[in-house]
Parts: sequence; C-alpha cells; structure tokens
Amino acid sequence: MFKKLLVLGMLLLLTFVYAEQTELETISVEEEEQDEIEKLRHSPMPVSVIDVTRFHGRNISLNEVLKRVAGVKIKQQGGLGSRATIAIHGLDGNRVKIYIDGSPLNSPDGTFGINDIPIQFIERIEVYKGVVPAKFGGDSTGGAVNVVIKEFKGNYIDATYSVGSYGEHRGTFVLQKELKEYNLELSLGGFYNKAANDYIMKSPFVEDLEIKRDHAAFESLAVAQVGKIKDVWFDKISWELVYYESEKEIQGILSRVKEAKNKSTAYIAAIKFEKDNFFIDNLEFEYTAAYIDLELNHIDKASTCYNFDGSERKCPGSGGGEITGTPHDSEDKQKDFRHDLNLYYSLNKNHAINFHVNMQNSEYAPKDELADAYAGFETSMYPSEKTNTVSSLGWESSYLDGKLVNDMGIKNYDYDYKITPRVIPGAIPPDENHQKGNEFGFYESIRYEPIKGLFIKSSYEHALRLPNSSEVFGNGGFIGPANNLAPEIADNFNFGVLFDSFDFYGFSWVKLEANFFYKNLKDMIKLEYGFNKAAYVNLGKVEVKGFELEFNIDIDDNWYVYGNYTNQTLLDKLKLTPGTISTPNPTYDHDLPNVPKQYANAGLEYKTFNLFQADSTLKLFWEVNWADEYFYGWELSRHQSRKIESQLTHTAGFEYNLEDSRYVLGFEVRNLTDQEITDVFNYPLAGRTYHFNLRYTWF
Amino acid sequence: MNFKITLGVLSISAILAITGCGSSGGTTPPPTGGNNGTADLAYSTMLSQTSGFLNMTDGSISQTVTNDNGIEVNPANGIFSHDGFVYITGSRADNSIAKYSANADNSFKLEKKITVVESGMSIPTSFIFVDDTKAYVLLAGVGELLVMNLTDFSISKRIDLSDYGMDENLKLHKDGGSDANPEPSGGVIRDGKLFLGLGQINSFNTAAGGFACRGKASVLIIDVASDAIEKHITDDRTCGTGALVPGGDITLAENGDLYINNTASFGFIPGKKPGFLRIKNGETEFDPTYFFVLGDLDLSADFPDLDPALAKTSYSYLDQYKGGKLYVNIAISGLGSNPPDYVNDRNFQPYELDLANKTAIKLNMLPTAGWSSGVGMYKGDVIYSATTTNGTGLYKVGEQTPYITTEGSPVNIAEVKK
Repeated sequence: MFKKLLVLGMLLLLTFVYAEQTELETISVEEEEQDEIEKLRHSPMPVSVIDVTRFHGRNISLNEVLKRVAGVKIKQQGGLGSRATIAIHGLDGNRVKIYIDGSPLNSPDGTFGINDIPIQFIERIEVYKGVVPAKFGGDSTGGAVNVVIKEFKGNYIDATYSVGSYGEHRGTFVLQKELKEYNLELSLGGFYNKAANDYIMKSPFVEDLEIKRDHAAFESLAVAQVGKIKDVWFDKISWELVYYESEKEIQGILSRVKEAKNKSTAYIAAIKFEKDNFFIDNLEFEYTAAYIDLELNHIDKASTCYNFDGSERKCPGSGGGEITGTPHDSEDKQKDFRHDLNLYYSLNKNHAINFHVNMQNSEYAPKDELADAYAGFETSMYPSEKTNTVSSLGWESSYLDGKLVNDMGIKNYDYDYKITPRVIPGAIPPDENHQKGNEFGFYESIRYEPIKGLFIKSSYEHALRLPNSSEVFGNGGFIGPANNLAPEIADNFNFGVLFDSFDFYGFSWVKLEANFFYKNLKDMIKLEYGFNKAAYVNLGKVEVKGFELEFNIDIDDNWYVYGNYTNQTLLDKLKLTPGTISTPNPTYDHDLPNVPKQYANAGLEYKTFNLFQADSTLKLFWEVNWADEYFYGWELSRHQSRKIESQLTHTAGFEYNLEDSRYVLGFEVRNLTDQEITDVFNYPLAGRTYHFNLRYTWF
Repeated sequence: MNFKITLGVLSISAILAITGCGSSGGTTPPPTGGNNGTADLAYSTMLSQTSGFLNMTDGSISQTVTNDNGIEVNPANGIFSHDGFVYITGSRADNSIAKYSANADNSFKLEKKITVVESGMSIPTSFIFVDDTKAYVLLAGVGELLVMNLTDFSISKRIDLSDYGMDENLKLHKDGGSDANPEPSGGVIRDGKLFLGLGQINSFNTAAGGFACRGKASVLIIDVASDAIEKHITDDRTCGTGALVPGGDITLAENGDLYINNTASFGFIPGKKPGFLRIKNGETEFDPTYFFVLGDLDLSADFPDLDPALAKTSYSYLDQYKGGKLYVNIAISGLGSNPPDYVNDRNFQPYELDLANKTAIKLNMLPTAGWSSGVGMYKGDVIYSATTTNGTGLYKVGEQTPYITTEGSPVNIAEVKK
C-alpha cells in the first residue's frame, strides 16, 4: 500500500502544479442542480433528495449522511469499511437497490460499497421509498438509493484530505482538463481510504472484558480515468476506466483474529452514448455498456492463534486458519457484463414515453485450492452463470397546467441462471440446475398541486426483486448456491403531503412533509441455515406500515433547522410454520426482530459570513439522532433479555469556507456524550470520535 | 438425549428418588435439587438461526406450549439436566456454560454462568455427570475436558487432550503430529471409566458442509476417580467418532457393551463409511468382529417411491438408547434436495436400530428436518423433538402428530427430575 500512497501523493502534487498552470474558468452548476433537486422533490414518487453539497466541507461518509434521512436507518458493524446495510422503512439488505448515476451497483459482500465513495464526489442522493423510476430499470422491493456523482465541468481541480479518530484517513482528488478544440473533457480522479478502527469495546460475550479492535483496519483505493467527447454524431460519448482495490481485516468478537482478512480487486470499463432527437425528433437515447471484473479473496491461514490478552491459543484446525479451522486462500472471480438502454420520447409538452432495458450477465467461478487440499475434496464448487433483464415502459403525463402529474408503467423481469451442481456421495445425482422465469410488475404514481407549493402524492407499485449474484451463487464457502430461487414480490403503497415553499412568511425556505407507507412483501429472499451450511431461500411474508414526518426550514440566510421522525411496524405475516401443512407460525403478526420501531433526527445550522475574512463563511452545526430500543430476537417471552437499548447521540462541529469555498476547513465531534452505541447486536460501535477535513477546490 | 450419557449414574438417581419417596411418608415430597416448579421437561426452540428459547413444561401432558415463560437462548445451545438443575452449553454459539434452577412458576433462575475460554471457539458441547458434585464438560473446539464442581459450579480441573490430536498423516500430536485438538465428542461412563469419543476432524466448518475426519475412529479411556488418561484406542474402519453437538455419541447397553457412533464426515470422504463400532463389556479395545455400517442397509422397501439407489442412508447423528434398541434419525439421501433446501427438506427419518443384530426398523413416524431432529427420554419413554409436515413439537415413538406442540421448532430436550 505504501507505493500506492506514494502514487496518490504524486497525483495530488500534480494537481496543485496543474492549478498554477491552467486558466481560470468558472462554470456554476448550482442553480441547475437546485432545479433538478426541486423537480425530483415534486415528482409523484415518494423520494427524499439530499443536497450533498451541504456536506462537502465535512469529513463525513455517505452512510453518515443517509442516516439523517427520514425513513432510513443504517446498520453498521464497526468503523469505516465495516459491513453496513441501508434500511428504508425497515427493509434492508438487497431489498434496497443501490444505484450510482442510475447504474445498479452489484457488489458482492466484501467488495465495493457506496460508503467508499467520498462525499465530495457526490452531487446529491435520491432515496426512493416506494416506486423506483422506470429509467433505473429497477427491480427493488424495498426502495432504492441513487447516488448522483458530481459532474465536473470545464477545467477543475478538487483535492480533499480528512483525518479522524481511530486512524481514519481519507483523501480524494479530481483533475479535469477541457480540450475545447476537440470537444473533449478528460479527467483523472481517485480516492484513498484508510482506517484502523481500533477503538476499545466491551466484549458482548465475556463480562468485564474490554477488547481493543486491533484487527479491524480497512484500506481502499480507487483510480478512475473519465472522458467525455461531444458532438460526434452522438451528442455525447463518455467513458470510465476504473481500478479499485480494498483490504479489510476481520475483527474477532468471540475470538481474537490477528491475520484473517478479505481483499477485493475490481476493474471496470464503461462507455455511454447519449443523443437527443435520435433518428426522430424528441427521442432521447442513452445506452451504457459496462464490463466489471471482480476478484474476491478470503485469506485465513494463520498458523498461530491468540487470545485477546496476547497469549497463544489453539487454532481451530491443524492446517492454519483462525476462524473456522479450515485454511482459506480463495480466488473467487466474477465477471459482469451490463447493458443499459433508455429511450425517452416526448409526444408533446405534456406526455412522454420512457422505455428502459437493463441486462446483467454474471459469471462466477469460486476457487480455493488451500481449503480443498486441507479438506480433501473440492470445497468451493458451483461455478455459475446468471442473466437478469428488467425492461420497463413508462408513460409520464401532466394535466391542468402541470398541477396534476401522472407516471405509470409496466416492468418485465426476466431471469435465467445455471448452477453447476456438485456430486455428494450417496446424495441425489445432480441435474443441470437451470432456472428461468419471466414476471410482470406495474406502477402508478400521481401528484396533485391544489395550491402553489402544496403537493399531494400517491403511488402504488407491484414490484419484484430478482435474486442477485451473491444470493444465487452463494459465497463459494459457507453459503451455498440456490438453484430454485424465485423473485421476491412486493406491493408498495405510499401517500404523502408535501408543502414546499420559498420565501414563506419571512422564512427563506419551508418544507413540511408527511408520508404514509404500506408494503406487503412475499417470497422474501432470506438466508436460511442448515446444520453446517446455509443458502438463500424464498421464505417469509412481511407487512410494513407506518409514517414519517419531516421538516426543513431555512429560517433566513443564517439559520437552518431540520427534523424528522419515523414510526414503522414490520409484522411477520407468514401464517404457517414453513415446511408444515397446518402448524401456525408462532411469530405470525409479531414484530420483526432487529428493527427499530421509532427513530428520529434533528439538526440546527448557523452560518455567518465574512467573519474573519472577506468571502468567507463559518457554519456551526449540531445534530442529534435517536432510536428507540428494539429486540434482537422474536419477542415471545415475558423474560426477554436480548435487546438493543435506546440510543441518543449528538454531533457538533463547524465548517469554515475561505475565498468563496476555495479552501474549506471542517471539524466535528460525533457521539459527543460518548454513549455506548450499537446498530447491530454484538457489534458495539465507537464512542466519541473527532473528524477533521481540509478541502481545496479550483475551477 | 443427555439421559443416555448419564446411564452410568441412573442407579444413583433412582436410589435418591426412592429414598425421597420413602421419607415423605406418602405425602408430596419437598422439592429437591434445582427444580422447584411443577414442570419436569426442559426443551429449547428455534425461531430463527440465532433466536430461540429454553422452556419448561410438564412432559406428561398432551398440550400446546408457548415460549412465554422461557428465557432466550441460542438454538445451538445444548441442554442437560442433573439433580433438578438445567445445564446449558454454548456449543457453537459462545464460550459459556451455565447452570439454572427452576422457580415455582417453572421459569428459570440463573445460578451461575462461566466463560470457559476467553477467546476462540471452545465449542462446549456436552456435560457428562459423574455424580451430584462432579461432571465433565467437553470442549470440542480446544481439545479440553473440564472437570466441574457442580456444587459451586466451578472448574476444578482442565484436562488437556492435545497429545491425542491426530493429523492428516494419522500421527498423534504427542508423536509430533501437527493437530493438537482431537475434538472430544461425547462419551459415557462404564465401570468407573469415562469412554470419551474423539472426533479427530480437521475442521468445524468446511465449505462443503461436512466435518472432514482423519482416518481412524478414536476413543480415550479416562479413570473417573483420578481423571487420569489410561488408554487411547483407534480403529481404521471408520472415523469421526461421536457428535459435535449434544447427543449421538456412545451408547451403553444393558449388557455393558458400548456402541460407538462414527459419522465419517457424513459420507463426504470417499472410502470412509459411517457406522457403529463396539467395545464389549469388560473390554477396552474395539471389537474387530463388529462394524454396523448404516450405508449397507437396504431401505428400498421402506421407501417404495424412491429410486432404490437413493433409498439409502449414510449416517445417524442424534440418538437415544432404550431396551436394547437405539432410537435415531437417519438421513435418507432421496428425501433431500441437492443443493439442499433448508426450509422444506424433511430427510431425517426416525428408525429403531438393533445394534447387536445390525438391523433397522423404520418407525411409523414422519421424517423431520436436520435442524430439528432431537431424541431423548422422558419417564422411561423415548421422545423425538421434530418439525415434520404435521407440526413442530415432541413426538412419542410411533406417532405422527406431536403430543406436545411447541411454539417454534424444538431442538434439544432434557427431563428435569423433581
């Protein structure tokens, strides 16, 4: 990693040299962006739009931003780089589809996560809490998060360095040159994340034992070359070449782990073509092709194992390995080919048709020769292939001078996967496991603006989620493949009222919103365990209902205040015990475990201008997060003990912008009162932490 | 299931029970030991992989029971009982063992909980009770045998079994072999000697889902009075001795013969057959004339709808001995899916094995799932804990519906003497 740091340092140095040599050219996109955010907020779909530029001066991760959103909860197991899932209205994991600029992020466990993306690269985040727009080709049952990457225009330089408690370092850079004579823009960008995450936590298993997390380090590096060329028959052709790698140590909680880790490497190449008036007037064309080559490595081959006090303990196996007793040095490879076509045809100013096709083909080849040699048989097995295609046809229309907007459409979900089976002595001779299917979904969303700034929204979607690669293929180890997995099905209904007005009774901006949601999921894709192995299955029926309330107020140019409250109930609606004919399911109509029923966020910002220097802004902020207590297991006994306690945390800090935001300094303290906090049972999080940020921008 | 392993002390319990009755003068005896309630059967349920409950109920009544009075446990935890107390082993969930008594309202009171190792997967699987004051606890993950003082529930001695770990070259650790953990996996006391099964596996979690065992069945013989290891015997006809979960290990028959279950990596390792070996009464060596290979049984008549090639079994795991017969669940190949369907597969069929004559009789019961397939004894009767298509609960032998319907899939059961 040292060499990579050196390379990154040189690139940063080049960035500053470049700044001195290039002409100043300013292209402001702020207004255009604000228009887009407002347009999305007023769309018929239930969506929260976060203007991430508000956070660009802070050392804050994307997950930290998301957890401030009404209806959203982040479940994190540790510090930067640790496993984290995003839950929208209590539904998490693969149910929440993640997109980057509208392209689905397909990241098997342990690989690239959106939390890796530096906040400074992000323009806005769109959180879809019901209907997922047709243009994403979405197959999602629990909503979607679309991360919109900032589009740097013209000549541009941006460099950020952040440092935080427990060895957290984050660096980013973007260097862009516009070659006007060739209608060409070339960019080089990247980021580097590193965190020791070595905070001390109480052992959830051994009383009075404090564990220093000395094997929770995370490191990731990405370098991307991005280019755009305009007006070559296509209005724009853009491409991206990305290299990404990460290394994540595995922190033991029950047992000390000193050497085991996961690594991942990804090469991504993508090209996108865009053209308006594509052969006929008013037809917009977009096509993206992408190739992703992933390699995942699980490495666990320590020959000496240790206790938390440093003394040696017996390793669980004789061939090395600290975790399971089987040594591992896996090389699991996945190749993804993706095609994404979008055609948008405006019939007239009030009607438009959108056609979208998203196809993903994945090939998976697990390999672990070390484990095979130790076990005496092939342990990984199951090379597999999967193709998912989601096509959608939508009709957008507006009436009454735009007061009434309607968006409706159908989606077709097609899936086809093959799993090469294994032979087990004495077991059923394997057949070719070939699963195919084709299903339809549909959506309808409507928005009415009876008086200016007041929007009434309602939407419904019969949605499907196709099994993703990790669910179908397993992980080449403990999680086996699932050859009979069918799509997960959801019926989502949302109703909301939004008041959104600028310059309202002396306030600069007032946004008040109330949303009610109801979801009905069936054939949920869940991980089920056998005696010594697990696999994903279709199991479970869940009803989700609740509401969220939110306000955002720019009191004046100096003061901004926001708050939100979510109340949700997730009930098990499976009437019978799985695998039985008529046995009632004991958890029928019970709250799903491990999901908070209530949570809230609030914040206050104060800005003052030209305090110490002209063209400077000082922003002070205070934020608070609260979550009610909830049970880790099913609540069936009056002696129930295992629960996650109610949590209240505070964050406070400042951001100081100099020379019209050319230089930005940020500092904040999270978990100010040093509370013991946990998102996931048995995974205590850090107490009070300090974060500092320095950003330089030139355009 | 823990009753089998306490056969060696049943006579003591019986004497105590008789004495108790005799001294009561015909009235209801005062509660003795740890059971102050009216219930006498402890059982655990599984609601999800990590969510389950430990409950007490009256095992003699046909009923539907809930988890309302239970305490939350991991479904992997083992349950054992002695002298009215209930003992829990962390098994693969954590490194603890715990002792509970039962309150008058049949709820549990934690007497004491001990962490047996600070770090690592110690896998405490089983209690083997010597008497009211002494028991052994098997730590399969670290190759140790704990000697427990039951009076104050403390560890009085740790017996290191490292010397008997067997590596892939079948070399013992004391002879320079690389494997320092023989994986103690169940045992029974006969004539003052603990016959301790050694799993001799290479891993607790191979990706394929099986434990790959070394090439020999392995048993340690330990003097109970001195806790001294007296003898190590092996047999290369099979491997994977005992069970790495509570129950299903070594059976003591009425005539003093020991029958040792060997799972041989559940059939994953070519060339090794799961089955039972025998140590005859008075002997301390395996009987070379006896090997009951379950895979050799022709079960096609029991499963006429299955392809005869698939009407086979390779192993049994959990069992309960009674009256010369061993009551087991055996895995039937043709009843399972490939890859496995962990929700709907019902491929563990109750059987009655005649160990001496190497025969098997299919019981007129429905097959259950592997994760809910316990066998135990209650007041002299064998009962199965099962999740069949007919329901979740405790089944009497030969019955197709549960006589006690549980809330959630039952996992482990133990009679709690009053």
